[in-house]
Amino acid sequence: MTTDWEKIQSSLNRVAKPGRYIGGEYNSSVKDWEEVDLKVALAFPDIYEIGISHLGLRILYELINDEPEMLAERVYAPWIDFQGLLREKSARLYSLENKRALSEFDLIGFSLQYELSYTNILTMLELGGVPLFREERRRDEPLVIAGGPCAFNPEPMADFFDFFVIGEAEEILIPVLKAVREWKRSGGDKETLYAELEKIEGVYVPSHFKVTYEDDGKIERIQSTTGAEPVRAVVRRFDQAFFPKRWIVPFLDIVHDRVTYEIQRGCTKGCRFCQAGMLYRPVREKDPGPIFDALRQLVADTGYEELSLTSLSSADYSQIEKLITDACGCFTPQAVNVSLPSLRVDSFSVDLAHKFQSSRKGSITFAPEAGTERMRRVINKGVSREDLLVAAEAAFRAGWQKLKLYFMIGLPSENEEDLAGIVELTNAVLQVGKKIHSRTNALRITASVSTFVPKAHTPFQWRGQISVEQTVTKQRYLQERIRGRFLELDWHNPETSFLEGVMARGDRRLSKIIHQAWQRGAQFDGWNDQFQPEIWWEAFRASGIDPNIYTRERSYDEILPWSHLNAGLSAEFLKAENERADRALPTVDCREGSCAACGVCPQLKVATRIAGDPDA
Amino acid sequence: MPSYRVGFVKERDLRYLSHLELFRTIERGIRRAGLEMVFSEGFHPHPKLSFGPALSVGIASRDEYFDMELVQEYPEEKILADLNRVLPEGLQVLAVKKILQRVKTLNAVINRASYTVMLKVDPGDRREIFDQLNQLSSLTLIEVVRNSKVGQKIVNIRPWLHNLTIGIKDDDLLELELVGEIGSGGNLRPDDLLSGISRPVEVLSVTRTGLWHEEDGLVTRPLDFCNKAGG
Repeated sequence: MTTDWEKIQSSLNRVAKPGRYIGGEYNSSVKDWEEVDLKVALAFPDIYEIGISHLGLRILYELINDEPEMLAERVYAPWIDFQGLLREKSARLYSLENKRALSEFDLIGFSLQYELSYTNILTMLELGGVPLFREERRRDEPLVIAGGPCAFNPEPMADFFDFFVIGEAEEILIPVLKAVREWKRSGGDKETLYAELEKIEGVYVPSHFKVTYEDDGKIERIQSTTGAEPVRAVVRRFDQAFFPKRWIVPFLDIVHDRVTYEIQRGCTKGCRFCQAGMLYRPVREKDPGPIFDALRQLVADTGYEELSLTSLSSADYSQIEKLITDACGCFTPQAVNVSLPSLRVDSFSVDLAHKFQSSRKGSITFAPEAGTERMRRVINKGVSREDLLVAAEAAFRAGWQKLKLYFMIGLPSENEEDLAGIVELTNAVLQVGKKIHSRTNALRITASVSTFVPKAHTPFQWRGQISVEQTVTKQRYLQERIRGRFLELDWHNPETSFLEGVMARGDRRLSKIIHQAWQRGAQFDGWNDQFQPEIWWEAFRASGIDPNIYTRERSYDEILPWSHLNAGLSAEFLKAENERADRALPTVDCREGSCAACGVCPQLKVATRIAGDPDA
Repeated sequence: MPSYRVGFVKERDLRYLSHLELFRTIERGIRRAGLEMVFSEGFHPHPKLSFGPALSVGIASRDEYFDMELVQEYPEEKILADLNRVLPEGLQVLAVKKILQRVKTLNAVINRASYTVMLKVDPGDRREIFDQLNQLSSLTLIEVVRNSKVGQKIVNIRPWLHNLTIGIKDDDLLELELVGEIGSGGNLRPDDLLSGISRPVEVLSVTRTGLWHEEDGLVTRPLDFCNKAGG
């Protein structure tokens, strides 16, 4: 019999970047297919260069492959040319290691990082020979599961998945897989498995919840049929958590082409729009010694020329200065660059960047997020105009000539003054730049403006999202004013942000619409050159559901589609923060001492951990 | 600082790597092997590492080369063993030779490449395709269309075809062995020879089997340049 791989192998040079589909990277793990009794496909619904850059799946890949009786193999969304090749040759989408079709695995785990990759999941299942809907899959067909930030409101994808893992998976995944293995041996039905898994903290079985709707489209009730109360999984001792040692070194030029080491998890700065800041609380730092030892080993074993100290806010790591100084001292002589993924808006961060970035040819990025002091207090982004101008001046003085500023439009209570503030702040930064680099043409200030999308489990989860028309108007306002020499403006496709907002706060009636849009050809919706919004609006019209009901403002007494999923955050905290936003009141970071009673530590029995604290 | 010329193979699935992807993979392999490379001076230092003529994506090779300059001297066999320990499957070092004198770059000196091409054909077309290919050597003009920066242009590749033999492997399998010009004097691509064939052919595989310098009938292999005059 000709395998799927053999069918396409000699035609691979017909597609762009065939290296995406060959596997065989250094440190990838090809185990004996016949020697293991549980086979997991880790699937990422975007192209190779994006998927392999994702840290979470790297962690889970090695974690599973460390189990002698299990294997994990990778599969990424095939680009359109390769989809055509698979169809032409009647070959199924296969894993990169043993080149097995998705349908041959016991379990397929998808990473849900972005709402607009949902249609790619359907493409991958279909090409892999796996029935799309949970109800269509027999017991001997793969279980299809998912995790990642979007799993905190996975309702739009509820009909496709057997279960979701909500929260941090590294400590519960192996127990989950062991339960699946036992179930495979036992011969019980899927219900038996679901009931067993539901006992594990972090598992959510969507079929065990019945959702009913009011006539006006609002949710009437979400009822558990088994009494389950899904709660976020959390790593309580993150300093002892598993981290990959055999770092896969891709052949291709990927998005994050470097060794990435997670120095801490969680961020409690408390930006009210930020979902990651709410979902991964509290801050848990690793100790600098073990970080350093791990980095040395990873750099030696990969041959990488760059490493990154990653986290949601690396400049806040308590000993970041020492860590950067030591890392530069050790790795720079070996021609290995050190970098941080995110900088704060202050001169301390610029000093750090100055240390590690030997060349200042690239750009430096700051995220003031909003244009006025008032709006930054609304969103609890504790950055002043003064902070930004001081940081920008430090960056220009250190030699940078390209500076990027991140802003959002459509934030709660936004008025014209806030938009004018974006223009004014961008110009103020330009004036600072001109003062320092007075004789250059290379000076460039880029204002990158995204549209605010309210997300589940954040203080702004009840807020309305601006419409496509409002977005266009606000963007035009900026386009007319941020122009001229040295200035550049980036903005997001308004319809993309709108669809993202629909999915982010949508319910399970969207499963059918996602399926319909996909059948009509929707895929790679997050890619500007692939996104076909009219397909989606047709699918909504055909189903009789108005997408605007998902982006509208909600009241406190309305049942939110994710209200049965416990992220550890208390509803009182989210409401209080939402109301403090109306009064533009700041809330301080709890790592500075004062607890904001978000509820995560007591509910999830976890604690903030700062490296070097005596009781850490 | 000591320089080394390394002969290696690129085969199996790694034939699908682009030249840039190959470069990075070898560069990281050298680092993993613990061999410290010399870097260029300047604002953007680069390792002193250079390759021979690029292979098109999809073509395997049994005879590839790169030159590297190291900070420290090591025995050739140690470099060979250390690299092979850390290279991904599909890349294998066959020989390492210390460069004892200044030599021209691989790209400047190599002017011949040989290839083996496996073709799948319809058994009914086999005879005709065989004849058409066989006639190529007796032609004085073989024109193919090449894409260039300014659009398409027609080039005569005949001067670049130095040798061609065709073998019949099976009813539906032909094997071409060819030697072509490569480098500044012209570039023969194996699939150039198929552009004028009037019947459908499927290219099953293309393998580069040799790279060398040839002048007045005298053949010098890349490793021969390491310790003797020439180039």
